[in-house]
Amino acid sequence: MTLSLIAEQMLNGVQLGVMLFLMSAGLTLVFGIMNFINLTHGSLYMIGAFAGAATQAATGSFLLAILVAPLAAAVAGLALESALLRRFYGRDHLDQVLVTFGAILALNEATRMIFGLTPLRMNLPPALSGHVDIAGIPYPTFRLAILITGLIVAGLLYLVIMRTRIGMWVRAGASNRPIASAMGVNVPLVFAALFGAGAALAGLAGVMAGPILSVQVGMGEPILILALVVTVIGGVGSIRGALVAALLVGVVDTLGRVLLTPALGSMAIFVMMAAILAFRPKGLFPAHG
Amino acid sequence: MAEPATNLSRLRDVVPTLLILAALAATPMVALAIGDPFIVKVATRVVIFAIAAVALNFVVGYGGLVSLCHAGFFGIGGYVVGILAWHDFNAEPLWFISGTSDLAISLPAAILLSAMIATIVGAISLRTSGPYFLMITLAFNQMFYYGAIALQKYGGDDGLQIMSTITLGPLDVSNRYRFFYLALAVLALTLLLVGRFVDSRFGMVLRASSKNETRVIAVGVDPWLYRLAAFVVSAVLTAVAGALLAAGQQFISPVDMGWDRSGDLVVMAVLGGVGVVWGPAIGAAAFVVLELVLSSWTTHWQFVFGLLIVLIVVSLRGGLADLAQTLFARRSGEAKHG
Amino acid sequence: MADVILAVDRLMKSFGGLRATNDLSLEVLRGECHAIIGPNGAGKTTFISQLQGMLAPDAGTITLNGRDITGEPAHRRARLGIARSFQITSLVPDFSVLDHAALAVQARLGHSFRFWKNARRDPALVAPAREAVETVGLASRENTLARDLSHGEARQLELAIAIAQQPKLLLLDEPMAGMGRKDGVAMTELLARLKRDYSIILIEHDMQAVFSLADRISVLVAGHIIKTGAPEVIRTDPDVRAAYLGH
Repeated sequence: MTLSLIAEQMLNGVQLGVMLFLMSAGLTLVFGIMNFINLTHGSLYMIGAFAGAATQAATGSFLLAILVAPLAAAVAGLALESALLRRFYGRDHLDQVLVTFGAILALNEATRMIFGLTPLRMNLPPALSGHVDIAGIPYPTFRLAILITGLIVAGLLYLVIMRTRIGMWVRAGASNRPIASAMGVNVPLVFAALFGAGAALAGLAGVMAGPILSVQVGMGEPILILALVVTVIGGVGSIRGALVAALLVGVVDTLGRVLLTPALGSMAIFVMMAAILAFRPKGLFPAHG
Repeated sequence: MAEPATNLSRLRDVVPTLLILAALAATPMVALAIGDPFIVKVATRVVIFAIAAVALNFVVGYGGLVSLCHAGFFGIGGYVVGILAWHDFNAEPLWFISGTSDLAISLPAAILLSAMIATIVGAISLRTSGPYFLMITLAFNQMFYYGAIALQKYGGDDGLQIMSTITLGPLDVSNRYRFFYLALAVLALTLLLVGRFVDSRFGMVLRASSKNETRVIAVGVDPWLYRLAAFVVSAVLTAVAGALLAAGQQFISPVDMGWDRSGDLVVMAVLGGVGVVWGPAIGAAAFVVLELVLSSWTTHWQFVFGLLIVLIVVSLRGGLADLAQTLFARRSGEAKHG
Repeated sequence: MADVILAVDRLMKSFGGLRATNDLSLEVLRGECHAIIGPNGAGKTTFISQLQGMLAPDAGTITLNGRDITGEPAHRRARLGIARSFQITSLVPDFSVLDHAALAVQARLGHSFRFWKNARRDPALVAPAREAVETVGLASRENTLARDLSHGEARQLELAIAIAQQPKLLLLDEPMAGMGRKDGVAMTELLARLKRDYSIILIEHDMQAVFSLADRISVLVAGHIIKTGAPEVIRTDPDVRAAYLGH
């Protein structure tokens, strides 16, 4: 186990963490503000990946793919939200789980119907398919690109949430829901926009994962569950918590899989989650306190 | 749901339970009559999932806790049976214990192991409430799933085949018909136990806590331990169902314990009706049959299935049990109650 | 030395910048009906919640029968003899009136890890529950589900549950809230009968009821008790008047 291998895996872990942050940010806000458990988030990730892969296959342009993917996911998310999910905002969490579960089954199968059973591949443009030298370690350019992109988006998200008026509404809503509605804001519109933004982030994460993992039906759920772990560890409603937890989960999961067998290592995250929850049932940075 | 403990209300629960058990008990005879043993296979599957769904409903419907890790316990039960049988077949000891294909040993082993794991999982998960509990149990399910895949020695991804003959003490239960009645007996026991539990003092605390925790605490009861006990009981029963699945189909795989299976169990409970103990048994039957019928029509049956689930949640609030009760009430001219 | 059942010493509770309970000290004598009055927003329910254990104070102590219960969780305090009725009715919608009282009896009798016997057919639970229900006058509705009760009946049920706990101290948070005149009078008569058997802390806005029931009255303003005394004394006190007229 060489130092450079560990360093490389740490970077991979941070990169996974950044992607998980993109997924969890949407999840934690939708749950924190709208009190809605959105299990279809994984499907939106998958839709982004498929849209990206299809775009690249049709046009040959990777750039177009990463632009189309979040858009497609956002459109799908908004359609899903307005046609179905918004009826469930006030309802039992049991009902929310069921409706999103049914939606996942239908969406997964619909994707299978459109694209078939064979996983799609996404090719990297020559500019991104090489290696970059980081302190003597050759690191895949694309992964570095993901890391940087993810950090930029995370940074932008952080700025918007923490420094703008809109972000203030969002944070106020996440920590105290009644206040948000009492502010006279067009609540259904804000909810839809929030949902769409979260979907776009998921779609972006999906298309970025495309070249690394293969694009296949059902790819979203394992990521969804990891994102839920991030949400729970970080503290629901907290963006800062989501970031810290995402990086933690990303690194532990990646290192776990490398140091132990892939299957055993995959369990590492959940053991860590159990340990953290044993001491902090509300997560590391609970927004609701 | 709450009624005076009159004889009429007990009849309302006992009669459907007996009808369900009777109907199920009759299916092998129907199979024999028309010469199609496949029906027994389906009926066994129905019974096994009915056990799991009824057990799950103890915490979901009566405890107000949406658990998405029960498929994990289902798998744990199945793997205990499978692994012990593997060691028996290969004449290789598992640490200091020798393998066995005798359910009289592997069932209690499954019960013990699942109880221990459920206590830990429950203790951690129940420190949170509602939605968090949901997310955390889903995460634990994934952990169990990966754990099963990690068991390379026992098939890993491909699953574990049981090569030896499963027995129950001196009885050979590998015969399809015998096994069915064994499973049915377990279902009957499950319905009896859960039925008594929900109306007992324990059940009252559990049910009250699910609707108004503040009220329960105010009269002097901390719901936590009761919820944990309910969780463990339901996990153990689900593990028994999983053990039966493995024994019955002589095979267990990680697929049987994925997150989607946990979702399926919840669907069965809701479809059948979470408000009565026997509801999920009907839900399991409807689910299994629906799955069978739909998959014979099209390979893309999951699409229709997913839409159906959505439809059910949107419209059929009380489940099939509620529907059945309403029809029965109307027919016998009783006043309909909510 | 008077027999003090409940002693509250310098209780403090803040929510962010808001001081809901501000250096609150109070003594309740055994057997008395001690009313707490005050303008809206004075922090009466917050105070009751801290006594019952739903809210933890930031500072100060609460002593019940000489025992410091400040750190005890709510369910433990109930077992030690505190029963609270809620200002906003807190019931289990699909439990009947009798079920609610039986739940309180069940809690009082010890643990509820009994799995076999049907609780609704258990005379050890039903008999005392029925008694409590009869005491508050809900005997004719004992099988009615909580969600089908009228508002007045729900308030009566809150009381029945508290009584079924066989407490040493009753914390009644606006038992007459939202009641019409007739129901209010009935409730006042009921409380007058209960006075004989329980120590009571009564929060009420209905001044007629307060002055007819209370042995002593404390006035709570901005989280602090400004005056305690016999009803006639409080009624004519200039500071108390100012506190109320100011709102």
